Amino acid sequence: MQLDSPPAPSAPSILETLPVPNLPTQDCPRRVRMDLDLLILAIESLDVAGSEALLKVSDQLGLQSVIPGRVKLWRIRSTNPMRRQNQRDPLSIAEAKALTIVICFLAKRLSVLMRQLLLGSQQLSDKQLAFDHHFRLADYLLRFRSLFRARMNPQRAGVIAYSTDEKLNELAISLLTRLLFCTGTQGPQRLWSSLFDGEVV
Amino acid sequence: MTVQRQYTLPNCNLKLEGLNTGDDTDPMAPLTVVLNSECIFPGTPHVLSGGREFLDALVKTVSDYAQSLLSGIPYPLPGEVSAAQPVVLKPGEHHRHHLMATVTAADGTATRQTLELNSVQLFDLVEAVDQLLADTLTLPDLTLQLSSLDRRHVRPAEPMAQRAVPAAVGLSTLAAAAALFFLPPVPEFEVQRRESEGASLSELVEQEAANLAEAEAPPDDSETATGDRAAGTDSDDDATVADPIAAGVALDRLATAAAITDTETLSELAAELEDSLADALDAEVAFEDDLIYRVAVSESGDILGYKYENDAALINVDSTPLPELTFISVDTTTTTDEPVAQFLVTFDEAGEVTAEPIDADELTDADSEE
Repeated sequence: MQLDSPPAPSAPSILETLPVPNLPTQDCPRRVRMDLDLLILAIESLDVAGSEALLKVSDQLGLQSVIPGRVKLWRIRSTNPMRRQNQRDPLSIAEAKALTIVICFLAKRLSVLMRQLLLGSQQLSDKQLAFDHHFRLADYLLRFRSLFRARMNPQRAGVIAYSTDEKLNELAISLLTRLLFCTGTQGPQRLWSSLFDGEVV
Repeated sequence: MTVQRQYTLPNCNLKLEGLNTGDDTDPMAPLTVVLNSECIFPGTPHVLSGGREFLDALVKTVSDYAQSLLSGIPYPLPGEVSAAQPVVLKPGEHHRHHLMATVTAADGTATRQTLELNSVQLFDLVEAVDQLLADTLTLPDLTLQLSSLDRRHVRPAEPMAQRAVPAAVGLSTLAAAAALFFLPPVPEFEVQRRESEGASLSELVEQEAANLAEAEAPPDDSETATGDRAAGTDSDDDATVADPIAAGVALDRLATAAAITDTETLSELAAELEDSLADALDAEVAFEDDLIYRVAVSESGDILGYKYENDAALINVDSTPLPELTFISVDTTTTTDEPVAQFLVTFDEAGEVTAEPIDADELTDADSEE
């Protein structure tokens, strides 16, 4: 049999490990877009080369067809409505799945550091000390705050809620906790399911 | 054969003891019956243990709690330990979590234990449960059951009572305003006055429009003999044009008015009219021809309108005192019910003024002839 055109590229099989949520729309809801971008922002704050690593990992996992390069990655992340350069393009389910898998993969690499930071923050808040006393934690928080302020549109209602250092620190710690839960055996499934909590019908 | 499975994490050890159903020679046979399960948190004195029921409750509670922590949306979890729910997790302050469990000791006495876990300890507990769920050699019937929460589970940002406040305030304000509006008396509606005002306004506008149209129209001699014709023929003085027109219109307006028939009144009015016209007439003016006007006079002697009866009268109308003496009503088009007397007034060459009453019947005949 002779074919005139190459076979249609099939979606990477790794994406099939995550179920398709029963959404009322075809695209990802607003909260999914925000959460995924913020989790990547937390990874970037933990690891300076986070976004590079993200591209490399997506190549390793065979996700080139979904995230072909840094421009596409930037466009996907800019679907976060909190961003300054917010893209009005929708975020497809396949793209969200790819990001979820990559986030969990990267989080697993950083799990030792995340445990240290979370234990440190717990100890400091138990003693009612500022986070500055933990050098590595203070570094993470500082980088998270500066990345957040550089990229998010301060006029947005969702961003105004994080106008102070304390609220941004709180957000950074809660993102760290969420990332830790992504590192587990069932991390991708748990993260994927949690993204659509309260969105499915 | 008794089999022990252990899931060891830095902050949590989960230990299961049970029986496998396969023959004793197969080390890979799955564990299917749980005799005892034990959850140990190294570094703390707490040991949670129980049978299959305890394990099932632990798995369900921990899994749901982990999901609510990940999504930030609270799952419908029981708040208190009960017989049906031996394991309960509740969020505490400063990123801490309270794990409460009813532990049944070997002698059958049940004790309640409460543990305070930090995020890392909780994660290790979740991870131990996840590893158990993922392990196909232990309890293959236990698998991870994840389903995203339905939309209706999402708690609204504000409680119902708070959201109802603006609507309630708005409704009560409306009710109060409505009650206040009943206090002032209902204003009396003056129908008569309003109607006349409205009519005069609209008629003024109509008249203005009609005047404009006629002023633009070319003079037409075949037009019926009304005062309006003066607008076409009289080109001497623009300022005085309005008077004959208005007066003529006024006379038309009086066409339907009741005629004064009493001869005594008529003669009195005629005399009065002659006197007033003769007094006002400029003595130096001399007419080449007789000027004949039809003049309408009210009962009180006011000249309500006049109309020329010959061409000389039309040309010389400004020399007569008629335009000055005529009472021109503001409302020129409305017919009046006031009784009027009509006279044929003649200014002769000698400057004499004579007024003769016109019979009402003759008048109507003359009009119809025109």
